[in-house]
Amino acid sequence: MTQDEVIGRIEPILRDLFDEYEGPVTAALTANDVEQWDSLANVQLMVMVEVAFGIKFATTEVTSLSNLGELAALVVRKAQPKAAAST
Amino acid sequence: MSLEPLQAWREPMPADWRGEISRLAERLSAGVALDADQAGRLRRLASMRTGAGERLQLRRLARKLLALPEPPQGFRTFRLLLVSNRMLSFLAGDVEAAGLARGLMIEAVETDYDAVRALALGAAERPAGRFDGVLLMLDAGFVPAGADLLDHAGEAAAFAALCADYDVIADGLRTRLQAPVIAATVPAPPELRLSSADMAVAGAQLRQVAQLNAHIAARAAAGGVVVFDLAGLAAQIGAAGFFDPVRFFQAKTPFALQAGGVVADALTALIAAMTGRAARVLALDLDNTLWGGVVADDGVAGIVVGQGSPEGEAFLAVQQYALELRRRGVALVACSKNLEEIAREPFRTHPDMLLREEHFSVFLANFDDKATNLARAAAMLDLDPSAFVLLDDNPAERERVRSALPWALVPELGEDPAHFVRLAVASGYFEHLPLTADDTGRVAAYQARADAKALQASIGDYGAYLASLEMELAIAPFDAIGRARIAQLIQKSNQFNPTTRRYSEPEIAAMETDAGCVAWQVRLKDRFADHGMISAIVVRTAGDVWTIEGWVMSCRVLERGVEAAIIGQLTLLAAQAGVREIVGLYRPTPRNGLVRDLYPRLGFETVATDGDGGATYRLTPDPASIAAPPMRIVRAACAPAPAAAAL
Repeated sequence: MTQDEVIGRIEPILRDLFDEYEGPVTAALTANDVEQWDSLANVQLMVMVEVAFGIKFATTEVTSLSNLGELAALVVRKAQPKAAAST
Repeated sequence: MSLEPLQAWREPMPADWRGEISRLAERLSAGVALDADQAGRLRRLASMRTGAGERLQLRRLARKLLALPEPPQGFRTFRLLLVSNRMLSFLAGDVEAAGLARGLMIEAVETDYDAVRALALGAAERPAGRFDGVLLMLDAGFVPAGADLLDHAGEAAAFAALCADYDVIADGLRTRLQAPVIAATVPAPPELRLSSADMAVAGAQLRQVAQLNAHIAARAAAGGVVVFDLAGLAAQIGAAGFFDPVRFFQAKTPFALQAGGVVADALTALIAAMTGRAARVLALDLDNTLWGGVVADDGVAGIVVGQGSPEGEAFLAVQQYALELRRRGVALVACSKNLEEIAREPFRTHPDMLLREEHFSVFLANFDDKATNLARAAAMLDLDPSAFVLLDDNPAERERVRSALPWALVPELGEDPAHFVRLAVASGYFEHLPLTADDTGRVAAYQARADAKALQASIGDYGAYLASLEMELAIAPFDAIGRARIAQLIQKSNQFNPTTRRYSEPEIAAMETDAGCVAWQVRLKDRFADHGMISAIVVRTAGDVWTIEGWVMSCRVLERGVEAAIIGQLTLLAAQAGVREIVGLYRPTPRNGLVRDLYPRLGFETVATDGDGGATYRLTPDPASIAAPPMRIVRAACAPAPAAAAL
């Protein structure tokens, strides 16, 4: 699974959460670009991503992410061994 | 975490679930209300096996519904205040989404993080507006580490202090918000259980949590709070998954976000019960639902039921469940595509059957469509199809009933009878409040209704029929004993309810001692059954004009002269008090057309009508005008209010 593929799978989650955002979803996207993306929604996003990819983020991992690309890269690292088994 | 068993009763979503929801949402965004079919479809879509993304859509839709001037048919609003020592923002969204599956448009109002005491004790500003309920959800962090270990006296003192603290909060919220408090029990996180010995070591925090939960249960039994067994639910989900320490440290959520949908659904099931929307009838398919096999093909000797075979025991468990529900006031209906004599045979002659013919209030075995039969049973019991839960192993039958009767409740049952009961329980359709004597006697009342109808058919003269019922009507002022049932009756009654004024339990309690009102609870029995409390009336007695502000009556006892008898007694009391006139009001709703002409029928004259179909009526209290009621009347000391003194 590449970073782009992960972003592709995260996009519908983002669109569900941030229904008022109509801009592009790319690796460069940050919370500042999306009005509805507050700290609460960020927690929701993390959980929905965890569920979608069958992974768990550690407490320190999610606080250091600066954009969607970094989130996707983290998912790629964590999901790699499991993805083969689950698909 | 195992959420699957708690969701498996929901039907899967169709491919176009999102499309259907967006079309409904677009309609609402354009300011167009939903018609009855769309409202029923929405309820069904919302009750399907949705994921987190779908729940976000449902929440947005719920918000749009709340913006409408009137709820769609079958829906009602419920304003819920969330109070917690933790962060419940996520639950707020999940609760609003989950409500739709139960015909509830819930507005969840959040309060500040850990503002519990400030709110209860009046230090924080009271959230504006009227609330229908206050959810008090405290987690184990509310329970102090408490006494020194092994200090038994210290532990007892700490526990007494904890309970006192809890009571101050629960009572404070109830009084301040004038709404019932829904008290969540406290789940114990795995981190609190350091050892099995925690159960046995005085001063261990785990013991305080257990004792607090016992205290909450005792308060609920006494009617002080409505208990929401979150601890029990957490155990079913599995504490290891229910609690998410990462999210707790990050965002102070009391439980994992993934559990939000299930928690919210259980909470809305409870709210449905509080608002009189819980199911009252269990309709049962027979072949392969109550026993294994097809009785018409296999014969009574060939069906599988009873001890000795795993499958037979599983079917017995379904029968046991039905009997337990019946004990709690749920009427049973048999609904089978069969020849009637063949369908009845196992109940009559199979020695291992627990269910017998007499347990069923209605027995329908024929070759009509099941939806037609359920509608027929609903008419026979004077209930709406939304009060029916159908258990049927056949997916095609389930689908047909859901399509024809979108408000009937039809859980998935899976393939294996061993799971039937668990799935039915998980649906929460029979959630209920602590039982009252009226609940446990209700099945007898259903039976009585059917019997009375049969008697009515055999007696031509209606007056003679009423006399033959040997009715006794007991009228008493509101009191603490009747309080819970009064509140229930006021919440549940939509048809015989001329003003649809809902009173909260604290308001009802206040009327017990309010000299400015006459508030009566009315009970009825006849020679067939004790119908329990069937009516409540609230009359404001300012000066020499008495106004009937609220009046509800159970539709079970219509056409028996009860309403005239109540007005007769009110007339007597008013005349004694020197009252000039009694005023009655009608405020139309989609459900109360039944009482549109109530006051004119009772001899009131029309004073004014408004453009919306509402009206004001008056009656001069004249004892000579009271017709002899077809029943014996027992009126407990209802002292006439001193109208003269108020002049």
